[in-house]
Parts: sequence; structure tokens; C-alpha cells
Amino acid sequence: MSKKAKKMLTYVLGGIPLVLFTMFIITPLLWAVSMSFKDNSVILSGQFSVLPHPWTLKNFSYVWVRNKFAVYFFNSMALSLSSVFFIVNMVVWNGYALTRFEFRGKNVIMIVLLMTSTVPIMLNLTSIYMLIKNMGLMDTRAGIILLNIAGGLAFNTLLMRSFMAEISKELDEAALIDGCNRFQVIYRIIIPVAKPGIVTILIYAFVGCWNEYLMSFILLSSQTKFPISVGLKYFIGEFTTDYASLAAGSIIALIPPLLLFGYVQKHLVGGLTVGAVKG
Amino acid sequence: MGKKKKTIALNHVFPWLLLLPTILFIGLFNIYPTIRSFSYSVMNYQRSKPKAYGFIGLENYIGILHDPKFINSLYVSLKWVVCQVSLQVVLGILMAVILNSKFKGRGVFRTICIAPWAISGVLTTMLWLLMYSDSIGFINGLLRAADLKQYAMAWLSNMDTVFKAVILAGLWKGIPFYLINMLAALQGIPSDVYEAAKMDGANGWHTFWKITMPYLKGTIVFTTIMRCINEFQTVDMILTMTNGGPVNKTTTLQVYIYQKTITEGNYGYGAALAVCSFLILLVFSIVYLKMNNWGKGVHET
Repeated sequence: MSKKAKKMLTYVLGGIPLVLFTMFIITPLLWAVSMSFKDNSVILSGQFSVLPHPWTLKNFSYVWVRNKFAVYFFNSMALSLSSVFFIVNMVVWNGYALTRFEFRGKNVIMIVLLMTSTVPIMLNLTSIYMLIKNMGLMDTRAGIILLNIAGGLAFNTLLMRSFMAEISKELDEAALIDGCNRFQVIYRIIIPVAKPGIVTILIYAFVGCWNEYLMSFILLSSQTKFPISVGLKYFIGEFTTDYASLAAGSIIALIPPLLLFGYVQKHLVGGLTVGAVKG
Repeated sequence: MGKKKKTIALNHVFPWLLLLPTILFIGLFNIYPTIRSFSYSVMNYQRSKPKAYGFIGLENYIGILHDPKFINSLYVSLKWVVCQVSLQVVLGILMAVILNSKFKGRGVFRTICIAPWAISGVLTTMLWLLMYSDSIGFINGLLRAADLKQYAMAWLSNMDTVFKAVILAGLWKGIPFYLINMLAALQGIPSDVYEAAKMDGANGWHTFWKITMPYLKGTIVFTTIMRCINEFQTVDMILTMTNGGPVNKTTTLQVYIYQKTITEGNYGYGAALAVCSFLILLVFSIVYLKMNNWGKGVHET
């Protein structure tokens, strides 16, 4: 076989699966985008068309206002941002404690963190339900935020530890000698240096909180408190015929995590993870 | 001298102070609930019968052993994990090798192929409902447009197709996870190894089996076990897509736990099921790791 033919063969052998797989991933996304711009009466008429024709923006304004997606979106933002604020601060403290000090019990902490990040949520379903009930936090945003924080700590602490281990200790020792206290060291020296790692963790934690569904669905009962994941779920039941709005709602819910993904995707594959990306 | 002593004491206390909030959180919302779950599992605890509340020993567990729905859900779970993970391994490795080679537009393809990482289980359901819908779905629309009307069907309410349909949607979200880990591992292989192989005249096929695969082995083992654990625990997507139906065709163990606990309000029984599920995972992980160590011993001699 000539060199050129060989090269062609490689292109074909790699190219076919690549194109097929990319189509498999992108088709549901593009189909939802296309549907969200279609007029629902056209959809229901049963006419199959790949592109929206005529196209309209009214589905978006409809779900945003009439179906309370503005409220859901705001709720998701509020829940996620406040959870992430606590997670990132605590994870930074943990990372600092676990990389800058030698103390008894450190290994126990590490083992507990590893274990809690693998314990299935379904094991704790009943007891968390009861715990939240006994704490008087049923149907409150606070309950969901507390659970979000608890859920994000273990994995992200392990990640933060591996980021901070890379930062030279001489840096903060010098600052200590200059008269900074430990908290000043963390917030003025470590955080600026660890910024890329912290941004990664911030995004991981945000996407995790944004996508949280099960606990919000079980614990929240007032519609005005629903995050977008729960809002969407109710949408399926209530508006089974309004496919255009369903698609528009899904697109709205997709935008924040996908934008953040675009920002973090290089790190995702860069091997900066603790062994494996959580699924 | 005094100051030094103070610093040493502080160095012992300060890390604990930093870790304290996390310890409190994990203690209250992770460790304590796990212990409680074990204790609920030996209780008669039902929403509909609050007066019957009390210790009943292993009765819930005995009930589970005689519960045909449990056996069925375990079978569905097993089928789910085997289908998901085996396809994820094969396609994940294939796509990672392709996306690791140099070609024009690689960045764009990579971004698209791993994008479902950011998409939640519920959203995956939404997107695939729009694909599978009987009347307006993409798949049926395409079939009708291609004059293959007889193949169009309600994919998610048909007993024969529902499992495959949910598997496909699960792969859409699962393969990218496998792919990300494989790509990360591939990037860790030093390029001079490949150059040396090329000099020796090895072809692509040889290079893959003699260099790439041995390098990837550790990551494959670890990722596969993690994917098994994660797929065994999948609940959001199946719950929202089919709610376990039709006729329990997609009721995995996790979906069954959910139904027993939340839908029926049988907290004690649900907790016992959850403990069983946890023990199955534990045994699986230990056996897998042991077997793998044993396998290593055989290969390396």
C-alpha cells in the first residue's frame, strides 16, 4: 500500500466513528434548539422539518413569564451561588489545612472524605428526609443549600488538596515571617496563586448544584422555590402537548452549565482531576 | 522560647479549626444519615402506619429476600450496568484514541463530544423525550419522512424498545465521562515512546495494543469500576424518563428504592433495600480490586 493510500485509510477509519459519534451527541441538542424556535401549532400539525420554519421567539418569552421559568432560573442561581460560596471557602480552608500542616488524624480525614464521596445518595434518602424534617427545614431553600454544601465538600476538597500541594510552601512561609496571619496568607497569597484551580472547583461545584434534582424534588413543595431542574420535571407532566415550550425551557436550563463547561473543558481533559471525574 | 511553644500548639489546633466546618457538615449530613439508614432498616417505619413504628429485627431483610420485585429490579440493574459500562468502555476508548490524534478541528470535536458532562440527568431526559416522542420526536419524524412509517413507534412505552431507548440516552451522558478520563490518561503518555515505536516500524494497530493499552490499563481499571458504581446508582434520568415503567421494564434497584421510600412511604423497607444496594456495591468493589491484583500477578510473571 502506498503511503498516501495508508493515510487515506486512517482518515476514513477514524473519521467515520468520529462523525457518527459527534452526530449522536449533537443531534438531541440541535433538535431541542430547533424545536424551541418552532411554533407549537406547526409542531403539532405533524409536519417534520429539521429547521424551524417559520421561526419564532415567543416560546422563550412564554416559558420565561407564563411558566415561571424566570422564577426557577432565579431560584437555581440563588441556590447554586450561595452553595458554591460556602463550598469554595471551606474547600480552600481544607486544602490549606491538609497541605500545610502535619497533624494526627490527617489520614483519617482523608479516608473519611474518600468514603463520603462514594456513599450513594440513595442510601441516605430516608434519613436525610427525616433529618431535614426534624430540623424544620422542609420546603426551605436553606435545607437545599445545606445539602448542596455537604454534597460538594468531599470531592472538591480532594481536588483542592491536589491543587494546593503544587504551590510552593516557601511562598506562604515568607508571608508569615513578614507578619501576615494565617487567614491573610490564605486570602492574600494562596487564593491568587491557586486561582486557576479555584475557578475549576468553582465551576465543578456550580454545575453540580445547578444539576441537583432529587433532593429538591423531594424536599421542596412550593412552586415559588423550585429550581429549574424540578420546574422542568413538572413541565413534563403538566404541558405534555406544549413541546415547543418544553424545548425552550430545556434550552434556558442548559445555557449556564454549558457556558461554564466551555470555560473549564481544557482542565477537564488536562488530567487535573483526582483520578477520575465524578459522574 | 515561649513564642515557639505557642506556634507549635497553634500548629496543632489551627488545621482542625480550618477543617471544623467541613467535619460538622459531613458528620451531620453524611455520616449521621448513613448510620440512621442502617438503624431505620431494622424498624417497622411506614408513613401510613405511624402507630406500628418499632424495632422488628431483620424482618425487612427477610421480606426483601422473598420480594420478586427486588429480584427483578436487581436483574434490571445488572443489565443496565453491563450494557452501559461495556459500551462505554469500547466507545470511550475508541473515541479517546481518535480525539487524541492530530487533525484539523480537533478542539471543536472534542468540545462537542464531552459536552454532556455538564448536562444533568433531568435535562438529558428532556432532550431525549423530544427525540423519542411518538408524535413529534426526531426519530419518528425522520422515519416517516424517509417513508419507513412502519418502524415508527412510541419508543418509551413499548415493552420491547424502552430499555434500549433508555440505554441509548444513558450512553449519551455516560460515554463522555469515560472519554474524558481516557483522554486525560492518553495525554499522560510521553510522546517519545510513540516516536521510538515509529522508528522501529510499528504500525498503528501494533502501537495501540503494545504501547497505548498497557499505559491505559490502570486508568481503564479505575474508570471502569467508577463507572460501574455510578451507573449502578443512576436514578435521576431513569426516574424522570420512564419512572421505572412500563411494567417495571426499567425499574432498577435505585428506582425501586425511590418508589418504596418516597412514593409508598415505607421508610424502613426502603432503608433496608438501600443497605442491600450499598452492600452489593461494597462486595463488587472489593472483589473487582482483588481480582485485578490477581490478574496483574499473572500478567507480570
